Amino acid sequence: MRETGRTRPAENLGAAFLAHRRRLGKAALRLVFLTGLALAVAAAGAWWMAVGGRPDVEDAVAAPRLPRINPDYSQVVLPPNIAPLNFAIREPGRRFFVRIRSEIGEPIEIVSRSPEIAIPRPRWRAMLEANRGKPLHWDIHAEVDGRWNRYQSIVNEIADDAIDPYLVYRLVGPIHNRWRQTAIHQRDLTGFRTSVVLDGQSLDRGCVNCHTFPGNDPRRMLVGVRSRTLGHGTLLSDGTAAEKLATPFGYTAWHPSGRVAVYSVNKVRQFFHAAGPEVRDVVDVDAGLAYCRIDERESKRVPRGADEDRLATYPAWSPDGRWLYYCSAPFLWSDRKAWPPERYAEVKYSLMRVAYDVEADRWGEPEVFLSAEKTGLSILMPRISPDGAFLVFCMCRYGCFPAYQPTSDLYLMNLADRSYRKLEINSEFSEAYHSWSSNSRWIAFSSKRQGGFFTRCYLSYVDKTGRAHKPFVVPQQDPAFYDGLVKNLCVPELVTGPVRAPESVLARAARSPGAGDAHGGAGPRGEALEPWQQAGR
Amino acid sequence: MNTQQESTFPSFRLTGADTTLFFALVYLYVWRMVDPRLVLHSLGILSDYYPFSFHTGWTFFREHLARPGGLVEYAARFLSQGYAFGWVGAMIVAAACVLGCWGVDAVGRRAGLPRGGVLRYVPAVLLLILYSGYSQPIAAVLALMAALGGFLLYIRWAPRGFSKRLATLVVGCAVVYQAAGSAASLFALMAAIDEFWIARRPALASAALACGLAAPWALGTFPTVEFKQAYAGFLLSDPGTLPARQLVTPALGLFFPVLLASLILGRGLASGRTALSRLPRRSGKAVLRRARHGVARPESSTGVGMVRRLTSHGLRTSLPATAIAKTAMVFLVSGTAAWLSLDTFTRTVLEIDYFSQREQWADVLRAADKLPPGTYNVRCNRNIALALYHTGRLGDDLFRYRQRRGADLFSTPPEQRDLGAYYQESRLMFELGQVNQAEKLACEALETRGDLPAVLEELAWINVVKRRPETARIFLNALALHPLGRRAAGEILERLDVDPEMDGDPRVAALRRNMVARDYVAMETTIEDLLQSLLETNPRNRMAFEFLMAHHLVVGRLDKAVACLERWKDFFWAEVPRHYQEAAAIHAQAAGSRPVVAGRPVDPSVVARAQRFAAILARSRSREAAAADAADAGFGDSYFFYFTFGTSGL
Repeated sequence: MRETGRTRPAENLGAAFLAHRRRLGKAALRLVFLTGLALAVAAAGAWWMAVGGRPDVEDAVAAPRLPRINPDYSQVVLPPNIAPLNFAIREPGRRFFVRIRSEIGEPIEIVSRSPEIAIPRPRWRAMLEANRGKPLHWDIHAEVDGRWNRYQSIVNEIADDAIDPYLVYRLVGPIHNRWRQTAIHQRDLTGFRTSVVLDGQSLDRGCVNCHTFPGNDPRRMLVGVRSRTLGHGTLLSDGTAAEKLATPFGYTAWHPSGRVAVYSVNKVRQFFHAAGPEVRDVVDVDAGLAYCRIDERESKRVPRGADEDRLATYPAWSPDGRWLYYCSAPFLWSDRKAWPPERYAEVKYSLMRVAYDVEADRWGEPEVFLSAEKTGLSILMPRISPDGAFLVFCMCRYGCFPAYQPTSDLYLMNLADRSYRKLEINSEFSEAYHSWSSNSRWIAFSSKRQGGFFTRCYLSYVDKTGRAHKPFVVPQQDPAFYDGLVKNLCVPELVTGPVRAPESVLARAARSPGAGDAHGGAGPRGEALEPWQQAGR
Repeated sequence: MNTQQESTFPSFRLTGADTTLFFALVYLYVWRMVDPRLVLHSLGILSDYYPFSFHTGWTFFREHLARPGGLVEYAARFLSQGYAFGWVGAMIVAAACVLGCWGVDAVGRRAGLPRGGVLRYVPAVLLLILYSGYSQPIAAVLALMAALGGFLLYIRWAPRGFSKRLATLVVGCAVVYQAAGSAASLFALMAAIDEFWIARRPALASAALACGLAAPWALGTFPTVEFKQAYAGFLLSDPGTLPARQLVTPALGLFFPVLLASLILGRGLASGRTALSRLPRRSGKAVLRRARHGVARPESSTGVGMVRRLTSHGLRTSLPATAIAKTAMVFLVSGTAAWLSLDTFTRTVLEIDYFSQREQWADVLRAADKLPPGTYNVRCNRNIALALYHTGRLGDDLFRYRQRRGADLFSTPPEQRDLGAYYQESRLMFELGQVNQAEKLACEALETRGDLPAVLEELAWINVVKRRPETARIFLNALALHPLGRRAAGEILERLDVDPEMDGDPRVAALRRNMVARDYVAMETTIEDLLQSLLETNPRNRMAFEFLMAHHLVVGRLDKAVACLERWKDFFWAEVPRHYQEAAAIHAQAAGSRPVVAGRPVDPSVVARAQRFAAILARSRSREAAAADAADAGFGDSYFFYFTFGTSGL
């Protein structure tokens, strides 16, 4: 055939070609139509097979207990703007029927042959929005041997107060000495969209850490960056622009005015336990506070924040910007070269505060706000609610790094009377890195409660009395998301919108040489220190 | 026949017994000599596992679809799993070689030359060189094939009109970039060569180069990816190519554009610049037709003669004897290249490790016997020590293998540290009972090398032993995403469902018995303390005892070895191992006391051997002569020899 075509006179070639294309076009159209039809029929069949229509569960047998679901979304208080809490039913069954109902609006009914329940987002959002402050019932049924079982209703509550719509967190593997993949991601909590803020891969496998925002404002951000080849520093993003400061900031707190950032300069060493549940441990061999006047790009020491005889870290501002809170502990070792330092397991940090006048750039005298002697525990990571009512902090048996302390729990202090108590939301494992929402009604925090090894981000409602309600893990589209994720989601920061600076801008800034002097001599002992160091072999 | 040849441009037929035989031999060589299972095993040891980790499921595929080069990366990861079965892996390599051969044929034809010749085997030989060195260049090969395929489709199907052709070029470059990442630059380069010299459209050639430069920008990866990675990543830093063969991958990648350019320039030189410039603009098909009809093939010129010698199929134009000789030459050169490039040492090291990881201890020792004499490698020594321990021969045969004073089994010196050192150390620590250290090391392996199924399984077991079943499940669920780990994960998950803490599992129970109980700062301790702490926890931890003894013997601390032998009463062995008796004999000789091991006299035959060894030393004139005499007398595998000369396994 082709041979015939090729021997055809040249003048006929064009016409033959067009005819061939017409034939081909019609055939292709027919093929596309038939394929589409077949796919539609197959999809409809598959849907019918999977769902099988709404079952009759009126005469279902009542099971006298709550159904087991994963993740545990029972008896929690939900933000009215949260993404659907997709879950998996951990009960036997051939088919499942879930009815989600509240006081206003039609219930959401889901029939599924799979135990994994995906809640339709538009209807979920409408239901939550219409029922703020009201209970939300989940009726779960499972069909076993042709008979439907109905479990007790899961009753959740929809809060009146929304949560900040974005969560910025760090995604890292279970790092010990070496890291390869560290990244900061942001997640739209009203849906499932996740994007990369900054990936360490852009820094020649560098490390990105300690992202902080002034208040909950995503327009400005500081991120620590470290790279063997590109150097260390801090990224400052402002709107869609970003620049690299040569100064590596440790734990950082923005002054509410956005004009000053206080940061710790830590000489950290890590070591490993031969026995016990947590292998890793960290000692601040030295730590002090410095601050950067952002407009001037100038770093100075915080007076008395870098004393010779004390360690100082974890700065946090009061919402009015008049007080800087931080944690401080005495050196318990005389030989600063000995490793591990003697009595490292007795180091306990107290909560301190110091007055600051941002206009005059003047510091007051530090005072002990809550003493470790009084609590018997090491006080770390203070964070004050934006309304100034509460202070949430970690306390653990000893040391400076609650993420590696299984004894670390969250405590809440009522700043009106300085009374404090352990929050109801703690587990037997480490809780740390809490962040307040801008309306002071939600906290996000890191917890290792899913087995004691991996860190996940949890959300908890804190009511006006300071009671924290049962936390729930940040929902994911795939309910089994966390079940096979060998990474940590940690350091959650709630913000009111997405980070403005694009990843490419941040990456470019991170690869640039840093501007400004390293600490400006503001290191606690005048050393250029790294916030993290490798130890051991 | 002539008509048929013209109609099949570019022809993708493989014909001829020589070609079939060549690729059959490639297949057999890769399967039997290289062993693709070892190529897969080398990932995570010689090169990172990250780029080859494959997960089942739509999410993993979708992630790859979303990023430039993801499709090729996904295919490379998927195909790498096939290497777990030697015959499948060999088939993949042979298929890559065949594709390379077709590529040469197609490029040659585009330049107006018929299929065949020795050059068509060059990609296959380069691939064999790579695989013989235990590289896994599958990602680079697939990227190259995508670029080449894109180029061939472009020249075959792109419309003639300038604007439509330009649009096709832009779309083609974008598609190739999305599918194969930086290989798009190769596509653009070949398209530029073709447009400039064959189709004679300099504007389109410039556009092709511009497309190649613009694609990473336009698709938004360059700002976050380094320049060289964005434009030549697959050539310059192919994750599967080992440093020793680093130049071969770029050679393979650049072979095709260089071939295309050379053939065209060769023809140009042959026919003269003026003649070339007089040639009318035409498509590649027209070029081919002219070539076939001899219009653009000046046979007598030197340049084209060379090209023809290299590319024409000798079997068609020459006498059978010459053809056979040419084919034999191709086979000989290819075979020699493959044979000479086969890294037998690496093969043996990988083989030992492969069997050790599967706890095939007898095979470990069998493979270890193939190590060249005098070879010292920490990875091998650790595996051999494990195999000797598990076969009950550690105290008898440790010094049958090469040992080195100052080296130990618990840490790897930086110069010998391969990428898989963490995992291997973790295995050793876990088995001994240093569970926290094993956890730390396995986490380092996971973070730095990727989610190797073996590491995930190890971490699952560590968490089972540490009574963290929920964490163990996370690792097992992650393992179940790997096609090669699914079965193991399923089995362990089922057992966890029945017995969440696995109290009934004897292996877990033994590990828990051995698990170090007293906390101290790990990795700041000596090896002796590390092992002593295990014996404090469980005095009957036989592995800790034997490795402590091995350590004392290797570092030459006879006093400690003899003292440690006092723990003998904790074990119920009939005979005291040979090396322990040899150490006791040396110690007694030095102390002038009666040789005793754990209250029992040393075997008279050992005492007699000690006396013979001493006699050899006494009568030798120099240390070197004594070592040679002792080795000749069969003492090369004894502790006497090691203690005296600091080496063994002779």
